[in-house]
Amino acid sequence: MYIIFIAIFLAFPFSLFKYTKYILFLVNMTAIGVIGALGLNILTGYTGLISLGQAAFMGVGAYTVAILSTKVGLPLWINLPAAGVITTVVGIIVGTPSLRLKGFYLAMATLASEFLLEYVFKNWESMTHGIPGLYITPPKVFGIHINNDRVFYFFAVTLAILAVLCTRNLFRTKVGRAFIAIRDRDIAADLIGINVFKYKLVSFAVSSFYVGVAGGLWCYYMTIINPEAFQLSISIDYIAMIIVGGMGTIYGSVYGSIFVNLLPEAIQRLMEILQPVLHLEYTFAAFKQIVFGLIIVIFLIFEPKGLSEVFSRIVKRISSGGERR
Amino acid sequence: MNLLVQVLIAGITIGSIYSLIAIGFVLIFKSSGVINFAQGSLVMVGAFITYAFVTQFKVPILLSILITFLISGAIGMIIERFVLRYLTGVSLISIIMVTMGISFIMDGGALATWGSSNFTFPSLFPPLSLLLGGIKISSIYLWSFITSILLLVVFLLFFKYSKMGLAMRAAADNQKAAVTLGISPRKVLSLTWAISAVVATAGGILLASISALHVNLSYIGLIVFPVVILGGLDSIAGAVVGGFIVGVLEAVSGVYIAPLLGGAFQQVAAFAFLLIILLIKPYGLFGTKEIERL
Amino acid sequence: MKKCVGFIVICLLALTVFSANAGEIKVGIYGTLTGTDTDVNGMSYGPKDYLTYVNEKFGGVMGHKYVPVLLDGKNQIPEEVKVFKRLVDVENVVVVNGWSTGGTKALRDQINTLVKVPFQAQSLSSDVLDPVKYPYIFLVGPTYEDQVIIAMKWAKQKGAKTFAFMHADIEYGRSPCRNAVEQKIPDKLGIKVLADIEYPGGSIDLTPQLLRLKDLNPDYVYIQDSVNNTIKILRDAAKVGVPAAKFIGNCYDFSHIIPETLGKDAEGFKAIQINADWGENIPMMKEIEEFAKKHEIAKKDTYYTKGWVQGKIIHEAVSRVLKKTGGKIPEISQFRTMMRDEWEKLENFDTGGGTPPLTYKDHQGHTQARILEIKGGKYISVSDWIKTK
Repeated sequence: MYIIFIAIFLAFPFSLFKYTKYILFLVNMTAIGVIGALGLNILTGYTGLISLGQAAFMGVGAYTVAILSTKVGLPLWINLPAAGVITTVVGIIVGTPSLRLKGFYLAMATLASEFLLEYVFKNWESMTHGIPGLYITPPKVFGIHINNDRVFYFFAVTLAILAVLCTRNLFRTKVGRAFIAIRDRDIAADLIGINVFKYKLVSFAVSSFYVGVAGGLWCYYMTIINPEAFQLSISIDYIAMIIVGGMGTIYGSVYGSIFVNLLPEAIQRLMEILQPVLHLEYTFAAFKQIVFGLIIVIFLIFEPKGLSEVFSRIVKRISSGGERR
Repeated sequence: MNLLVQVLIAGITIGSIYSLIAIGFVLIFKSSGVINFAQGSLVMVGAFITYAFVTQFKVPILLSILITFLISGAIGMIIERFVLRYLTGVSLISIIMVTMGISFIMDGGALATWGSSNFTFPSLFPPLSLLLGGIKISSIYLWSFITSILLLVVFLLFFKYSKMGLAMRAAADNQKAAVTLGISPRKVLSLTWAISAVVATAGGILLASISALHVNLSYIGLIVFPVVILGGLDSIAGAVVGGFIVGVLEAVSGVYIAPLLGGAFQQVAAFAFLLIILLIKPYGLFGTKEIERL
Repeated sequence: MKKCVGFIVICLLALTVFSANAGEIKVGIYGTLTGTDTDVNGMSYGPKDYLTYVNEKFGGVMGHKYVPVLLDGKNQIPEEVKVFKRLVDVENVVVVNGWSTGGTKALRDQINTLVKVPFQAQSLSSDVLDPVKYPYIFLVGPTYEDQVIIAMKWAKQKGAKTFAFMHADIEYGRSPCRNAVEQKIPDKLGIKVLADIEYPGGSIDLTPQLLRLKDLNPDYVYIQDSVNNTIKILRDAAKVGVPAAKFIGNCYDFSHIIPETLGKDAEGFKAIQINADWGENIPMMKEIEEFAKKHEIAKKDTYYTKGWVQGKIIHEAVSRVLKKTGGKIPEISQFRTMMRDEWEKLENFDTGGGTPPLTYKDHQGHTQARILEIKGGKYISVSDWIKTK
């Protein structure tokens, strides 16, 4: 069964289907989203800490890659991990003062850092080139630029799968279980000897690493980054991803990323079919916003565990339905 | 000197509006522990509904305002009843996201209804300006400030002396004890949201009068956070003081600090300030300190 | 579980539209339909409407009908990149009419090297105008930097000595002002720039910036921003006591919305005009009125007329290509390259009064502008048509 899927994954990019390039584009964006969502899920879903600064941290990762590749000329295999590391450092700096406080204050600190980092991106011109942003020449892999949709597809999807596996292993270790303990009952966790502050910080660091790598990938794919790409709305998109997908589950990050990346496209097509009825185009964007809000609210009220829960229920019903005969 | 005074006046006036909006936020937090990310949207929608009554239905302005107060009160109650009642006892992130989702729905609805242009809010106050020590204070500023102060005083009196106000404070303080005294927390919560929405509308009308009416007005909901962090999440007096301080801070940084640091610093000044407060006095000037420290 | 995922993915994507028929010419347009610059988005509706007009009146071009595709770029670069890819890869458009300066810059490789598609830019930044480096990018009108020159020259005639810039913290705002200073434009005219005041693009209250401006007291202030933010600037200027007459806006500040919204607070404000206004007594306006009989026009302003002109340019270039191929629609990449070549050859193309006759050797069309001032709620011209090159 899995062999068929592997075959599809490998062969699809070479198909001559008219929409292939565009679908590859969507898949690539989703893959980046998966890595970012995994990072956020580790922090929020598994450890229970709230971050509104996801977008700015992605920006840190993206700018790291851009600066290292244009100003210093380092290759990809150094830049991408460096993006993760630098973002981790920034994450620790932002997180440390507020991790001792209750969740809301961390949310506020990350919200503030979101705006402040955006300001830095726009104004630290010697490093970030300010508002126009930075262009990078994408490195070549087997003679083709990495931001070619096909090449990037293999690269990004592989990394996304790697990220999923790493996360799965993380939560089999002591560290991962400490995160979960902190989320569920932090006072009790403290009582049984878990150094809550230390593990909170570790969680923040690991999460930032993922997010930084996602940001670096974004940079390699877009080849141009500028401060506008890392605004608060992106942070909210990511939180929506893990809520809709399922907080505290690994596949939740995957489903969430797919959902949030593809939903606007689906709405766009739907609107185009309905075009003759609605006259003015701004209604589309308003409609997208309303639908986005509705979905968040509906999921939180009716399916708080997200799509991963929905799917496991369906799978259970199918498999148990089979047995009941 | 002249410039500084003008800057302070601008800051204090905007600050008074921030205070109003922050009060709405604090009210909800105090009574239900909900962090309302939709406060800004309530501000914006309230202003728009008033505008619609005045321009489209040709209702005189004061009557429009009253009708809008009723409508926004209803909106507040609806949000409380249908959405938040389902979510008692859920995690903070869920509450934040629900209110965010609500704000998207409201923002999208406003965008669909009115579009994304700038509108002039119908003039509310007689155009009398004041000359204070040789500096002209334009009428809008003057009247907005007076209105805000009046509303603030009304609120403080309401909470201190009226029966309902006391009931609300009791319920916010200790729900179980309040129940034993015959106060219905359900009713109180409904009313709290209604009042909060009405205050938001008032803030929206003033804000739209001072600048312009635009769907982006809902972003004001983000400024609320530095204000309440400074003032203390659960303190109404803190919201008032915090509002003024943040207003002045923004004005001052826009004029004096921005040229030094470059760029549009005004936008981030409040948030830089927020970070500093979190480091020094995270519970704000008047907030109650929480004992858990992990 | 993976089955469900795959199933849903396929379902979502199955909502996509079907392929284009032969005999259709697709034209891609993206603009700010929602976001911060919407007041001037008439220039995205303009080309769409013109091509529809051509379809209805002439049955298209040599029997082939235009299919204009209008999408929302939201004035955000990632969104514009996404929309561009869709137009070029999925919809297979012949030409793209695109919006923001930042977006155009971001897509420069796509437009000129990787995909090679003619790009009609709404942006007027000199950073994207280069017939050699960017052979596929075409503008309509004097660049923002040219407009600064025009404004300053005019102001110099009135005896001005000091200027200040005001703009938003986005590419469209910063780079023209920066370029103007770097190219020493004020210095050559003997004008001192006192300050470059920046504000957050979406902010509601600009009073601090205007207080600062009042304190500096320049002779004139150049606003490198569009209608939405200019309204905010003038409004807050009136609040603090800076007269509107001190402000000169760029070509995107010529809009009846400004005096309509601000009333007397807009008196004296000046803007730059680079193409005809709505309602002028020109042949092109008759076309628009004919179209308006059966269709609702989204924005009745000077940006719509600019868009109408852009539609004309596209139609002319396409017509010339089809004449060369004898009415047959060439294969798409050839079509795009041929269209680019024909575009460049346009000389003294008559737009029915919408603009001066257009010549595209330098990819600019024309470089004329004049200064208008709001008097009695209407824009009156206070200068002649000035050529910058």
